[in-house]
Amino acid sequence: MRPRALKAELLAPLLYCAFLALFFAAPLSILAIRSLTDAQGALSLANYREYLQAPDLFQSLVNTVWLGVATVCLTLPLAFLFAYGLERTRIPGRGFFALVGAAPLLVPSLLPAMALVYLFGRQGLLTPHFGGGTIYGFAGLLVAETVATFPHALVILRTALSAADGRLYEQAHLLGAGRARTFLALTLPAARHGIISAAFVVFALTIADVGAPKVVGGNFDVLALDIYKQVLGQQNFDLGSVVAMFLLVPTLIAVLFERWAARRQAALKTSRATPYAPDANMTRDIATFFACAAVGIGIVGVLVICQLAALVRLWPYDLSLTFDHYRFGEFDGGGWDAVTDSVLLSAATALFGTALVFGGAYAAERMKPFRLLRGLYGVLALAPAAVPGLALGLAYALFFNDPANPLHFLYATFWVLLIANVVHYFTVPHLTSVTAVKALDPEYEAAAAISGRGIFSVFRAVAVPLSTGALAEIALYLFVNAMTTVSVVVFLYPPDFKLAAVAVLNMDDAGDAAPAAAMGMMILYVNLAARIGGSLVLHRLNKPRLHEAMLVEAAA
Amino acid sequence: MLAPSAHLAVEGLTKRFGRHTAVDALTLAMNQGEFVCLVGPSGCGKTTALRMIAGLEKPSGGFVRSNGQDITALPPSERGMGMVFQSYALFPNMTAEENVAFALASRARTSRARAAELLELVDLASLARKRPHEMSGGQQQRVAIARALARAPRFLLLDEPLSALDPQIRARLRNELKLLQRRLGITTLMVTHDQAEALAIADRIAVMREGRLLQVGSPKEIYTAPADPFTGEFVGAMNLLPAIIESPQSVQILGRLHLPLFHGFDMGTRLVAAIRPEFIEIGAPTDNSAQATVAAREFQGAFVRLSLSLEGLDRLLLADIANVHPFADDGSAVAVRIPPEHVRLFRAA
Repeated sequence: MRPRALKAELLAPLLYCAFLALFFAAPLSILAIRSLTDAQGALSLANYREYLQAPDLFQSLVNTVWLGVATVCLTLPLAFLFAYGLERTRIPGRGFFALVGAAPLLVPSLLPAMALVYLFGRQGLLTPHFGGGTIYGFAGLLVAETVATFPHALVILRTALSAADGRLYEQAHLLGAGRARTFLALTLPAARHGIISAAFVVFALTIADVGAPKVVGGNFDVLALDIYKQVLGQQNFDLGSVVAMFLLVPTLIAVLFERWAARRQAALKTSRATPYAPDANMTRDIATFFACAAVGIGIVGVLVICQLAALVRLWPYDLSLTFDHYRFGEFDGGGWDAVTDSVLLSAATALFGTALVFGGAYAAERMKPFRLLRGLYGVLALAPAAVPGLALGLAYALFFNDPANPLHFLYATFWVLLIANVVHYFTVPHLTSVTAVKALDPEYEAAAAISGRGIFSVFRAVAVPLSTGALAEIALYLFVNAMTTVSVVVFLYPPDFKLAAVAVLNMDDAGDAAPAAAMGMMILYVNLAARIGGSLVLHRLNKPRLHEAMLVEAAA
Repeated sequence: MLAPSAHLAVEGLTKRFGRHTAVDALTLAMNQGEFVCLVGPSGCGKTTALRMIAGLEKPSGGFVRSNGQDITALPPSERGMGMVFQSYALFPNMTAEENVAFALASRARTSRARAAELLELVDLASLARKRPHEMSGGQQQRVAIARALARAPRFLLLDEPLSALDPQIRARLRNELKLLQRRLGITTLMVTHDQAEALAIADRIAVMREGRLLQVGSPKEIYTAPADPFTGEFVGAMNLLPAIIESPQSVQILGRLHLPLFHGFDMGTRLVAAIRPEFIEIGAPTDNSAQATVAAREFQGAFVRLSLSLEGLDRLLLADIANVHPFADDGSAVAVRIPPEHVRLFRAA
């Protein structure tokens, strides 16, 4: 260890903690203080009192909880069935189903809501066939949020169901347990942590979403939309902060539970478990196939409707095809610049975020000094998942808009968008990085130290090259989320820097529904291209090594 | 104390983790070119001791000296040590040559040639461009050795280098390891939990238990004259029998056998008599033999190991006999004789 390396080893954990303290803890504290500050600037609960006494605001609190619970009740069974089909059956097309099930991740959350409006809204294609009633309000929100949260629940439930130990099932079979009994005694209990944690995640996502309520909410007010209206509509930052604080609590609980469940899930995996292979069972597979197909058609249908709506002249009256709605410059949304700006921001988020998060995870896991500081970083890095995007966005607006803040110069710049995105999506990449770093032989640094090479040589020459898979996954995650998010950036984007997802919201709001759909689908295509491009690059990177490994195995 | 000429020496080396003492005042000296094995059950502190010598762990107390010079505070790279890790810690994304060159990078220009030279030394020149996963466990081990030797160390530290290998090739590789060490003449300290490995390979063995050093000696000394019952049982098989002092020249064991033994213990001291299975004699009853029943037999190839149950002994007595012995059916009664010249007496714990 040369002195220079030693100094950097001391600095890295410090810098990382400082980064999260400055760009996460500080803005959130400002948000909390603001919610507790009355009109005279004194600390008080006046804002909370005002909020709880306003009947319509209180009603939206009730609405939000009700919507969240209902969405959980609808999403969970569907996602469980779908996950079961992917992990526990032999139905054909599982790869395709997996892709379809994840597709809603690639679009802003308001796109499913827009599709519903195209079908069942005031000028809906199918509205006349359903007695003229529209879907605005609770029903529309429920369906839209179910589609939007479905892939998040699916990821968690797939993990829970894939962790099965095949030996237990063989044992159950040998002991003469029937299918129903095996399912109730083995499958469900093993997946229960996943089910509960998926429920919390769906609940948290639903109540924090602003896109769907804006499009299809009608008179059914929810908390997230209240923040949006209070802040952007009435410039009432005090009440906005109060609502944001209300949003924070359930999300925090959801995250704590998710972490707990993940730990329990990991403990269930024993190293001697043999992977579960589903047996042949026609009845089960046919039933599951049709269920999965129905869900898949629903998701694809949403996307197809949006794409069609973007391509027809005047939905639903003149269904002739046109590219007119792609002349984004003619609508008040930012034009094609919104797409390029979004790609630029998302690419920057992916690049900067991946480097930052992976470096931090490596420092926290592998550097020796400052055990306490590294532990603190581990906790801080988990915290951003507990803060809804809207709350973080508002906190940033309050924090950076204050002229007394030395960082005020960042306000309404590209940089604040970049930092907000990285911080908001910090936790999942951090956990992925930690897993990747933990998979590295713990003696690499020791072997290097004896050879006179510092920890940074190991990082550069070993840790990064060995983690390309995880790094690509993280970069894609950051890119896709930065492309689709509205909530984090809606209070922060500078006037001359339009974002595609925000443009979808604004154009839809202004009545330009078709261009909004066109823009939304552009986001889907950019994200798809990124995904496919990412897999191709990874495939090429890994191919020669994989090929050699196969040759060796074949020779042995 | 220690001979000043000791090539590598540790004095009172101690490591505490909170209230737990992992290594307790370890003192050990090694001579130039010597191959020493640090052996003990898992968790006895031997790997921690090795890592402190390498500079990877900071000792809570004590010194490490190289040729009399205190190197306790030096960073790992400046101690003149090469180390082979249990997992080998080879970088899977690098070829054998690159793995070795990694340890040479400060002299980048000549490192390629030097790496090739080192791989030549361990007979791996033909595999220089292969990555670790394309090699056998033994070949990986040799790459790890080549990398450990890259900076021309004076000492080689080996942390369980054979434990990752299949039992069949382990015996062959420990021989190769020994030959390579002889050829290089490099002072080597190896940590292992496998006493058979230590007996086969070491010039001297240091036995550790619960952080303490119990005994240091040649394999033969450790085997034939263990300093305590634990060492006796840990290195090879050993029967431990409760014993009572009858007179200054005689000890009684198993309540019926009288062994004429000179010993230095006071009357009434509770003793343990230790004898290895190969010295137990089975034969016709005599006036100084005990009746036993054959409880189980294990065919071991060159010999048969009998487990005998004796009245008054709560564990089975092990006896190794030639594999053609006639008295060895299960359940048969045999007479056991304990030859006093092979018995070692210890104070009971």
